[in-house]
Amino acid sequence: MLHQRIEVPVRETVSGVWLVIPGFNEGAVIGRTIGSVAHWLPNVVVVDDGSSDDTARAAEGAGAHVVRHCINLGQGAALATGIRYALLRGARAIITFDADGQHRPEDIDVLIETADESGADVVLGSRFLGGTVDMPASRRWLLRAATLYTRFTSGLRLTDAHNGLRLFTRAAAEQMRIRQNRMAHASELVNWLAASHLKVVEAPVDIVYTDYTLAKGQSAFSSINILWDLWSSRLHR
Amino acid sequence: MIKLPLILGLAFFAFYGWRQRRVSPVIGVAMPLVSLLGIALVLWPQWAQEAAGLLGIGRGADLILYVWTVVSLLLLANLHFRLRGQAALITTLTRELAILEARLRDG
Repeated sequence: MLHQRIEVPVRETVSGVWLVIPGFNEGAVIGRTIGSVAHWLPNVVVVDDGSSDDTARAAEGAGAHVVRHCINLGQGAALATGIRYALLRGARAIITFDADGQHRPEDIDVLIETADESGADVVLGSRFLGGTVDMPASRRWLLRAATLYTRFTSGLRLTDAHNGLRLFTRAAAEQMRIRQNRMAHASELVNWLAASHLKVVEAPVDIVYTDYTLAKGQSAFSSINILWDLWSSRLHR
Repeated sequence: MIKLPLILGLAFFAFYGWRQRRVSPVIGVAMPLVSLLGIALVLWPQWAQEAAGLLGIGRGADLILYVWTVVSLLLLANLHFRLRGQAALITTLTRELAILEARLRDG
């Protein structure tokens, strides 16, 4: 059954747009990240995924709503928690945003604009459509390989399958089920979108690569873990 | 001399497995079956040799080793899937607790 796209443009209900930021030991940067997005969206929820540092306190101090996992579950689980919280608070649309400062706050506007112009249910940020600079060659090849793999397994022709900047309308977010607690949730999400009747578009966004974001990012070895999580999950649906 | 403690030990596991059948049907069936098979082989060790001959394996000890390997892997897989189920429950509990706390703070 096809669902109905929300009739009111996302831009006209910015007070109903929630930004979901999963964070694990991001105390050093989370305050700055929240400060940078406050101008764009009033509702920010940080899911502190069992951090051992002061991530939760820093996020609260910066004015965000904080939902705190008492144990570390992983980024996928933190996103699912944040999305559920935002839905309970009446969110009309949800944007996911990484805590480490790799996304540009102005790209929030790009996602909202794209959602309204295209009438899409889901807008996925793509660094390969944007003007991302300073991306290390190894990271570029790793992401290209991941995108090809995701295209092959899902059939969805995306240019960037693992970008944390995404917009979901409420109707899309309500249908979403993230079962992968760790990093495999990104591929799981694409597979789910491919199987759904939702309209999905990509929007050009930039990623800011710094020593901090690169250290927090995924390595080639992590991609093996992600593949294992995806394959093993097929054994016990 | 060793046969009596072996039989008692295997009988205990057969009983324990049977008691677990409601919690874990796989354990409830597999553990008593394997234990009873073990008791039979303790009492009549020539059965292993005869079965191995029929299957073209050669030695009864080899047959037991192969069967044991397969059974162990099946039980490990069962344990793994149960752990995944437990992890999913922990995720749900952690999420609900976190949201409840946040909602209480929100007022």
